[in-house]
Parts: sequence; structure tokens; C-alpha cells
Amino acid sequence: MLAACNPGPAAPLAKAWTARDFSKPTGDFGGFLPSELMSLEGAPLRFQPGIQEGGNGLILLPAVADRAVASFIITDIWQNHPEPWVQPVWVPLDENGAAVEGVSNVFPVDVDSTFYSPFWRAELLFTPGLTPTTFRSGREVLNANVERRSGAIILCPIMPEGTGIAGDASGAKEPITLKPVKVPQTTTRAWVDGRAVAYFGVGIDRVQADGQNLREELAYFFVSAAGQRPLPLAAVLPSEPTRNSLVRRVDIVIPKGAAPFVPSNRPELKALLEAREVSVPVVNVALDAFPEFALRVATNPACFEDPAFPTACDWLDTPARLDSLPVDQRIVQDVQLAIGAVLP
Amino acid sequence: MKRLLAIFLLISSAAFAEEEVVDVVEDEGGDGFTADEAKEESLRITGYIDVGLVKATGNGTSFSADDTRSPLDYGADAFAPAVNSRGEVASTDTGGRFTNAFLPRSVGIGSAPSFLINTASADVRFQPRGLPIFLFARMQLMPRLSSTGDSTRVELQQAFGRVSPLKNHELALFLGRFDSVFGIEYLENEANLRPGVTPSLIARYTTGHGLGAKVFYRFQLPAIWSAVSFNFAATNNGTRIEALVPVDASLTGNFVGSGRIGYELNLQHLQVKLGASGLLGPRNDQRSPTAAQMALAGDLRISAYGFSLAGEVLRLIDEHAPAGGKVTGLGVGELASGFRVWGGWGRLSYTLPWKTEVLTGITLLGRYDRRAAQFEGFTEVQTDRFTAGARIDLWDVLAIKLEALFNRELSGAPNVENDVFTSSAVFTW
Repeated sequence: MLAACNPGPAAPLAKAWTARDFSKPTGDFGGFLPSELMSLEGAPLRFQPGIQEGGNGLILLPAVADRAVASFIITDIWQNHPEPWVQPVWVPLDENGAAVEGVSNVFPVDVDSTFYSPFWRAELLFTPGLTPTTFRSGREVLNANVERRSGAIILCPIMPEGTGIAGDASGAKEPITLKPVKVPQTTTRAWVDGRAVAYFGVGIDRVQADGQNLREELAYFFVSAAGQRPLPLAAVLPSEPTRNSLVRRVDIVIPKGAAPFVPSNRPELKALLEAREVSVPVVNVALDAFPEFALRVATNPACFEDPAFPTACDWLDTPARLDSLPVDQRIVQDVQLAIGAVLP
Repeated sequence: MKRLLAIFLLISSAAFAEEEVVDVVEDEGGDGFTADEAKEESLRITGYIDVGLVKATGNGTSFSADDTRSPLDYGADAFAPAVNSRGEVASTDTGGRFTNAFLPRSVGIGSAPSFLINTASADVRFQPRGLPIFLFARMQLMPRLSSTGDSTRVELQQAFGRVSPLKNHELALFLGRFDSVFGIEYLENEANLRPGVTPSLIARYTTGHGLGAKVFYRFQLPAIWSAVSFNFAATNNGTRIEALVPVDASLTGNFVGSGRIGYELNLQHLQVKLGASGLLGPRNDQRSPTAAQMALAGDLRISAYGFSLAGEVLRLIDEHAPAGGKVTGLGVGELASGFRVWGGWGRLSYTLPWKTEVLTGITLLGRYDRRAAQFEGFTEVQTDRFTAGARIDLWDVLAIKLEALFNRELSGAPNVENDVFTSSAVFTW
């Protein structure tokens, strides 16, 4: 290479991380550490006592949506990256529209593509004489003279086979209340270019789109100061989070005097926060009756001692309330996330 | 700075040299310094007009109507349905589907038969009296109609000054925008020089014009009827066509090195030319100096008794660009993906031994092209093409060319109808 006098204009690095990256031991994925996103087999669970069992699992993160308890997994992260796009996923069916035993879906690209995203538009293939070997590559699909119908957008990240949702032998639990949640247990097999891969089916209609353009919503994460990584507090998700899976990370600097609520019977949460140097007020045992408020932030933590708890609190748990904070406490990051929200 | 000044003075004071450069094909025709030619200033204006009549099959693109993959141009070879010597295709209409700036220029006719002014080209060349300097500029006009109306382009395809500093050596230094130095197909960029009508499937990587500096040197080995040539360039862009990589500015601040070493054997009835080419430098379709483009190629030409066999093989790799954004001569894309391609072509032609005052040449030709290309994380697309053509030269002024292109998708891309039947009448003036 021949060097000229000018180094050339700088450009931010466009980065993307998929769930395949989350099992790495180190890294900073748009402000999240791999250990904050995926529990490795045999490792301690993050938001509850116990050990990860049944293979690696994406961690259910605490959240609030429409003022109610929610949780979510992060499947993909983009930083300084163009908007994610929608690829087709081909869903072979028989001529009557029924699934055929042993037939798998076909993806056009794998996670190593620069144009991979976990959002796919289902393209239903009505195929007479369909067998498990009829379609295993994009070329076979595109050369087939079959009826095609466009379907919904599906959130199904391609992942290492056997990856599921984090949890012990009793299954995955929502991190705020520790109630069991109903989620897919593991991956499903599919094809890319004649090669078997696995994907995790989060669900259909998980994002709103106008053709190729996915609608992005905001997800608010608490940080202790500008430039810091998100804290293990309840993120505030957009309304209808199961239909708004593409979100932009907005950091909320915890206002001075504000503090999170952690019931006394959740010492593991208190320890998690204190490890990040977040001061957690000690609360009365009686407030253990309000587990659903765990990990929410109140601007007036004195309300934790108020008989009118929780209504006496000024909770930072809605987009509208957070948008009313001073601008320097709301920092929109050039980080986008694909999330799979789970509602009780 | 003193050293630069010294070099400049050396060049300025050196003897005058002139090559009779037609279309600046320095590899082909350079006779070196000839002192007698230095006596008079000369300003010459030449050029050609290339008129085509074209019909493409299918919808004029390589895109299947059922293909909803993104980007669409990563999963098909949009360059396959070429219609003229510029490599422009019948259509690149995607029907609104997303592409990522891996597209050729289009004449926008789809499958409709159409006349085209492929190129109206004018060359201006000036040889200052008594100086070893030669100036050349080529301006080209391409009248086009697109879906948004008139899309006529004017392109300063070449503009350079050449210094030939040594009287008795075939050495030339170029500054400006000039032909590629990579491979051999650039020698046929212009319609009046190309035996057939369309470029090969790998021409997009090797035939682009560069903006920068280059040096050409050839020495003869008369004892063995041979010559060895060196042609090296440092340019903003490399050797890809401007539709894929911008020429007019360096986006990275670093230059791209390219070059070819050639050997030729010139016997009475047999001519053999061999070459090896290389390229290394930053991708100029993005702004990171660390994302490299690199290529190697080999070429061969054998001519004997009216037959001519020519061929080229290429391996090219683009590294993934770490920053977002991609810039080409046609616009911007989202990301500059990693890319790998190998390909090649072979052409056999035969010039009939009949010649009259009117009919100055008849050449029949057949060419086979093959290309296997893969964008990072995408399916490899393998295509090939059979080309059959003929060229009839009249009065040494008019070339009438006919060509049929049969494109095939071998793997990775859906089968599509994208064959082309094209013709070209090239008037040289």
C-alpha cells in the first residue's frame, strides 16, 4: 500500500454482534458484556440463585412495559450500523399449506453475512410432492416453480444449536418476580445454502415494517453516569414490546437522589447492583409483597417507607416520564437491539 | 523537495519522445523515441461513434422476479446481460428491491429491441514541438434514457500528460487519468478496438481507468526476438470500473498499486504474449485505509496465421470494510462487504485472409467466460457465458460487429433469461 499525505476522513466502525458472539468470554457488545447476555452451561444465573442448565441460554433481562412487568432477551446488537434489513425465510409447505414432517425452513444467509439480521419475512412455498430434501438452498427455492405467498415478519435469530433461554432445571423465570415464563426451549433446525443451521423462534409479527424498513422504537436503560454501561435495572420498553422488537438504546442517567427498589427477599439483586456501585436502600420486609416493583427506579426513594407505597413513588417506568427528564440525562446511543420481549 | 525539483528538471530537459499512441495502448504499439518526429507541433482530434442495435431476453436484468433476498445484487450477476463495449447492461431494474451498489450502468431498455448511441468519443492529442511531452484527453458522450428521464452522461474518460525522458529507451511516465495497467482486456476498452462487442465477465475488475501516476518501460531482446515490459501505476482507485469504485478522489488517503510484467515473442508467423498482473491497496469504495483490495491475474495471447487465442484468469479479494457506508460511481451503499472472486475468459478468433479496398477485414470469434463470486456470508454465485460474434471492417473506417451472449447461472443464483443479442456499428474518424 502506498501511503499518501492525508490519512483520510475517519468513519465510525460499523459493528454487529449476533447470539453466536455472546458465548465469547469477553467483549463489549454495544455496552453489554457477553456474561450479561448469555448464561453459559454451569455458570451461576444472573438474576436468580442457581446454575445454568440445559445448554447455554440467553438471559431474560428485567423490564417494564406499559407499566407492567416484562422481560426480554437480546438476540442481536448493532452499533454505528445501517438499519437492519429483512431477508426472506422460505417456509416449505405441501400444496394444501400443511407442514410436512422432516421439512425445514431455508434461510438465504447465515450470521456471517454483512446483511444478516434476525428479522425475516416468511415466504410460504406451496409445494406438491414436498419432501425433506426438496429445498435446502436458496437456489433450489428460487428455481422451483411453486406458488409463493408472502407472510409475516418473524424474529428468529440463527444461533448455535441447543441454545435456549437461561434457567436452571426448573426452566426459565422472569427476573423481576421469578415467575416461570413460557418460552421456546431450544433451537430448531433449518438450512442455509445446503448446510444445516439452528434458529431460535422468538415469534411472528415481532416488528412493524413498511416493506424493507423496520420501525424502530426506543428502549431506556439506566446508567450511573453518561458513558457508562447499562445497569441491571428494569429497562423501560416501548408499548406493545412483543410487536416492537427493534429498539434503539437510550441511556437514562439515574437522577441525583433517585434509587432502585429491591425487596428484602432478593439479596442477589441487591448484590448485583452494589457490584456496579449502585446504592440500594434497605426496605421493610412488608414491601416484599410488591415483587413486581423490583429493579424499578424512583426519584423519591423516601416513598419506600411511605405507607402509600407504591403509589407514593415517582417511578421512572414509562417512556413519557423518562422523556420529561432533562436532555442531558437522556442519551440516545447509536446502538440498536433486536429484543424478544416476554410478557407474563 | 530538492530531489523532486531535480527529477522535474531532469524530465523537463530530457529529449523529446513520441509514440504514435492510438488509444494510448502503450503495451501494444510503443516504438520508443524517434527524434525526427520532434520537429513539428501537432494537434490531432480523432474519435469514433458507436451505434448499437440491441435485444435482451427476459426482462433485461439478471434478477429473478421471485428473488426477495437482500441485497439483490449479491445473489445474481447484474453485469451478465451486457449490451455494448462499455459493459452497460440492458437493465438493472430491481422492482424496488434493495441493492447494495454492486451494479453496472444500464441503458435502461429492458427486453425491448432498441438502437443506442453507445458512445460518441472524441480524442484530443497534442505534441508540443521539441519537447518529450505528450498530452491526451478523451471525452465521451453517452446519450441515455432512464425511468426518470434523460440520463445522458459526459465523461472525461482519460486526461493525462506523458513524459518520455530518454531518447533511446522506451520509458514513459504518465500523470492524470489513464488506462488500467492490469491484465490485457483494457486494451480493448474502446469499441473501435474490441474485436467483439461486449467485455468479459471479469472486465469490471480489470479495465477501469485510474487517476494517478504510472510508468511504462519496455526493453527489446532482439537476439531472441523478444521484449519485456513493465507497467506500474499508483492510483486513487485501482483497476475496477468507475461504476464500482470511484476514480476522481481517494477516499482513504492511500493509493492503490497495480502493475503488469509482460513478455512477448515476435516471430514472423507467430506472436506470443504473456503477462502477470497484481494489485494491492485500500478499497476506494469506502473510507478505511485498512480494508484492502488485492488481485492477481495471468494473461496469454497467441497469434498465428490469422488465428488469435487470448485469455486471462483473475483472483481478487476485497476485505470487509470496518466502517459503514459504501461509495461507487453510481451512488452509495450501506456496507462494503468482504468479497472474493475468481474468473477468467478465453477467446479464439480467426481473421479471414480476404481483403479488398472496401472489405478490410472479417473476423469470427468465440469466447467463454466464467466467474465465481461470493460476498461475505452469501452464497457463492457461479456463472458462465458463451459468446459468438463476428466483425466486418469496411474501408478501415467502419466496423460492423454482431454478437450473441448466452449466460448461464451455474450455482447460487436462480436461473433467469438474460441472454443478449447485440450489434454495433463503429465509425472511426
